Amino acid sequence: MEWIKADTLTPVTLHVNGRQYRAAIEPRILLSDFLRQECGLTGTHVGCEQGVCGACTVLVNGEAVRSCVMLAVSVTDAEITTIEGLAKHSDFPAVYQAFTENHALQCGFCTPGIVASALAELVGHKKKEEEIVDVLSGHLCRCTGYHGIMSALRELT
Amino acid sequence: MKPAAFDYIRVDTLDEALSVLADSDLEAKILAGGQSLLPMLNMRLAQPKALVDINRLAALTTLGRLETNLAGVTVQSPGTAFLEVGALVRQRQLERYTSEETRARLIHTALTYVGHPQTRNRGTVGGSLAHADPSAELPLLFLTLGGIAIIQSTRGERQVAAEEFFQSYFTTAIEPGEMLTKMLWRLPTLDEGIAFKEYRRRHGDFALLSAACTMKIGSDRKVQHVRLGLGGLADTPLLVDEVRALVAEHWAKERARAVAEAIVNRLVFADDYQASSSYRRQLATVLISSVLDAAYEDALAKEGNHGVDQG
Repeated sequence: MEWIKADTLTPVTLHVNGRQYRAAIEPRILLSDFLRQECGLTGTHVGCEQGVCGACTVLVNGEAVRSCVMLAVSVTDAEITTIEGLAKHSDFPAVYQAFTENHALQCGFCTPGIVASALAELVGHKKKEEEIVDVLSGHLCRCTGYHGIMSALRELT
Repeated sequence: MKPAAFDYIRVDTLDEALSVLADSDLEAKILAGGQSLLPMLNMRLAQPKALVDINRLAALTTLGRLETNLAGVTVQSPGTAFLEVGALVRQRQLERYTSEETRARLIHTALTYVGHPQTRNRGTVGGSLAHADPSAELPLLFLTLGGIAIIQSTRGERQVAAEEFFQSYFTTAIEPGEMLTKMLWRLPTLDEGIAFKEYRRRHGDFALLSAACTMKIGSDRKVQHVRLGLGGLADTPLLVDEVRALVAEHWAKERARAVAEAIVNRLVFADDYQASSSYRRQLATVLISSVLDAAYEDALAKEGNHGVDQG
């Protein structure tokens, strides 16, 4: 059993993008805030902070999850991948190209989360239209109207 | 939006978890997938003094079909099978498992309506039942299918039937100091018709109204038994009695419609920002009729499958 007291700063180490990041944090610190403030990985965007908008989506042990509804102290044994790490993914150039060519982003706020979901769930897998919709439904985009993103994701599956 | 301060307790065994929960001064909340709890913490709707992280309890991740009943579980009929689901099984894991299990298709269908893949990757089955949102899909399915919740504490283990489990908004039969550790979900037989319908404004939202139905018809095509559950209508999911009027009768759409109207006339519908009460009333009539129709059509299509277990 590990017991971390409230209001105390406890050193934790997280494995992010193949690197170790160590910081003294309170147990209530969200993974999204740890990534942005302690690791300086500001590609993970924070929108709603209640698990709805999908902007903060990162990979934890290869699975797309919301970093704003996870505690940093709870994932010390996991491998975390943010958009900065995904940019080095072998499939990333194809995603970049498909998003560019299909006008799949405008302001870019939601894009890192969508790219994380796409690489974990869709790219390189054969997927039905409704499965792509299911994955994209986990992300809010206020610019594109989604059609461009759907076109890009269809090309990638 | 950040959580208020809390102690974080990560346990390595179930006994440790139960002993922490037994300390009533601690008022500890269980952290499983966190997909409902963390938003509540972030919004400070919940401010527990301590969180017990149970994510390392491998004992709570069992998932598989159970042909023999546990001691104390009444055999409902020959051929009754349960799906044994550990409280910590992720919704996504159950979604993948049930896509391969013919008899669990109703669970699979409903799961695709739960949040999004990104939240199902993390959210647990036990967490959804223990949270007991009255418009959530998994509580509705557990009640409609029937089953047993296994609840443990330092005082021992007890079993609660699905029909007794949900008590009010976000309130279940789980007492302070107790923990839901496992569920047995009744699996419909292969010749049972199943249907699930839900209406919500956007994919992944909580249901404005959802309905699940299992129905068995005889070779004479009369209804033998039927269970209908409704979600999003009251403080808990509801199992409705009015469908008994369909039993031992030949199917008629008008009869299903009359049952839907009888149910709707008994219920009180809320007016809120999402929908007016008159809109909900009409939606309920249509959705109940259509889920009954769909379950009957499915049962009809399955005739001839008697005794052939492809699961």
